[in-house]
Parts: sequence; structure tokens; C-alpha cells
Amino acid sequence: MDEEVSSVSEDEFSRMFERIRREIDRAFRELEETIWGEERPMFDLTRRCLEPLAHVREEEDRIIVTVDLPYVRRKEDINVSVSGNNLVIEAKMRRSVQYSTLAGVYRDLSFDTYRKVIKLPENVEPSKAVARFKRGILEVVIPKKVKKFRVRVE
Amino acid sequence: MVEKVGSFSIVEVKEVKRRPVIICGVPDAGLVGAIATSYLVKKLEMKEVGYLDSDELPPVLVFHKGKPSMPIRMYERNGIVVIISEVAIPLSLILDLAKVIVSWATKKEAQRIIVLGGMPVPNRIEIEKPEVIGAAVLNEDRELLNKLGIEILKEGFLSRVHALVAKECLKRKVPCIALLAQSYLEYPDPGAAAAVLEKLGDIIGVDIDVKPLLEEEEEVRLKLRELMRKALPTIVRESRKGYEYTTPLMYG
Repeated sequence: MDEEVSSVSEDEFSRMFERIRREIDRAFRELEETIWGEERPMFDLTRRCLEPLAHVREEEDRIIVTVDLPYVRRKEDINVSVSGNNLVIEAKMRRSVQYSTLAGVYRDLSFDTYRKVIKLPENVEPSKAVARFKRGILEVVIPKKVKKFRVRVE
Repeated sequence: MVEKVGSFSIVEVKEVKRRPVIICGVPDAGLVGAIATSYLVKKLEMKEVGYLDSDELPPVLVFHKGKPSMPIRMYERNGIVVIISEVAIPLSLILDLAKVIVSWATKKEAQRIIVLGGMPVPNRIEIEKPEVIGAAVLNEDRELLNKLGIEILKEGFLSRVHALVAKECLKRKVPCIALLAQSYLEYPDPGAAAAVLEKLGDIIGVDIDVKPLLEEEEEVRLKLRELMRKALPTIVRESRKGYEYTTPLMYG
């Protein structure tokens, strides 16, 4: 009898545990969505520009910012500037894109520029940044302010 | 036929014949698998035969030409079944997804499961034509890859959804090949998808013309920005574990 009661409890416990696990997963998902701004549309109606995908990679002595810019043809069509702690990237597309073909809800919106603002960390030297544009990807390399000195090994 | 594992179900709306070759591509690094499978469906003019569903998927219904569709669908033509997903699969569901696909494949006595995907490399910007690597569960598939001149993963880890499908196949002795192309992690990569499709064509004996995909590359990259952004948290969380770049134990 005791055994039966115990096995039912275990079963209930594992169901409860599974429910909790799924709830935790859901909470994490919602948190990730908030952090990554997943709900925000990737265009700016006021400025009439699209937000490109961008990524920041941190290395020991520099940070590397990459931005995916489909439909941008030449490096002359890209403007990279620094304003305060922000890296501002603007680029002109070689043709305008109708948003109805991208997402059906927003009709008759057309865009021909990208704009992306990336907050830079404090320890970088934007004045020494170099950029290149290759295979439709913009890459901006910004060195970090690194104080180098040797530590003597005794 | 309905197959259910955990919270995931595969529903055949039209019966799929026995012994199919199953090709899967879910949103992953560079959306390589997702781009490759959706191009394949269009190129081979495949017919929709079913869908995969879970209560825990994002609450969306997809519309194409005014017609509603399930976000994860199954297409078929001449014994080739393609599973495509238009939504990012949450990390918590990937295991159930892998299990339900392999379980269904076992019941259908599938000839083989082929998983398509990207293998993120930091220097992708320098690579003109991405290399493709194959990881096979069974010996005869490794021989096939060798014969076709596809480089085999000899030492290393397979990771993420490809690993889970391959692991389930290993347990059930289902033939499985993972075809992975060098790709961007965080940007849609039609170039990598084209590279993977060329090798897939060799394996399944179908000539897949990837020229139109390469010509539409910019449009694909632009259209898939939002899906990429949604899929990225899962991909990044898994990629941070960095198993692809890890050397396994020496004495296995």
C-alpha cells in the first residue's frame, strides 16, 4: 500500500518537476526576447530606414563590429561615424525596397537606407578605427585602450 | 499517421510512402538549413504532405499568397521528404523535435535522414566558396561521402540540432548524414546554403541548380533578417559552448 502511495507521489512529483522546467524555459525565453529586443520591428518609420543585422565581437585588444548590408553596392555609399559613445552606421541601398514584400502588415512603405547605432564600450579608441566592406558585410575594427607592460617572472 | 514525442507531433495530411529520404533544415547558424530546404521545395516543386507542431512553438500562423500554413511543414516528391521551419525553434524544444523526426523516420523505414546546416567560421568574410563537411552515422554512409569526394568529419564534435538528430539516429541505427557548410553565425548565408545543396544533389542523385539562389542572394539576406534575429539567441547560446572547435578525448 505504502509502495503504491509512494509511486503515485513520484509520478506527480515528476509531472510537477516537468511543469516547473517548462515554466523556467518559458521565462528564460521571454527574458532573452526582452534582452535581444526581438519584438522591436527592424525599421524606423520616422527616419524611413531599415535596421540591418549587426554583431559585435570582442577580442583581447580590439572590438570588431560587423553589419550585414544587402543591396549596398559600394563603400562610398556607407557612412560610419562616432557620436559620443555611439558608432553610427548609415548606408544607401542601390534600390528601394517595398516593405510589403518583406512583411505583409506594413503596406506601401519603401526604404532605401540602413541605419544602425551601436553603443561602444568605454575602453575603445574610435579615432583609430578602420573599416572595410567585403561581400556585402561592413567590418569596423576599433582598437581598445590597452596599457601594455611586462611582468617579471621571479 | 500522427507521431508524437514529448510536446511535438508530426501529422501526415497526405500519406507518405515507405522508404523516404528525409531532408531537414531548421533555422540555425546562418539559417543555412532553412534557406537550403525552402529553396529545394521551390526548385523541385514539391507538394505539402504534412506538418510538425507543438503547443510551445511561438504563437504564429504563416500566410503565403493569402493561404494559411503551419510554420513547420513537410513536403514530398519522388520519395524525397523535406522538413522546413519558418520559425525559430526554442532551445527547450529541439530535443523533442529531433526525437519525433527520427521516431517517425524509423516507422517509415526511411532510407536516410540528411540534416543540412551551417558551420560558423570567424573568417567567413574571406571565403569565396564555403567548404562542406559531412558527418555520417553509419559506415556505409561514410563510404558514400568518400566516394562522392565530400570531406568527412573525422575528429570533433557535431553540435546543436544536427547532433541531436544524429544521436537519435545512432541509437536507432537509422542512416543519417549531417551536411554542414562554412557559414556566418549571425547573418543569413545563401552562399553556404548553395554549397550544401550542391553536395546534397550528389548524395540524392538530383541535379540542383543553385544559380538562381546565388542571384537572389541579397533579397534572401534582406528578407530573412527578422527570422535570423529571432533564431539567434538559441544559436548563440548553443554556439557559446564552442564544441565545434573542441578536440575530443584522445582515446575513444
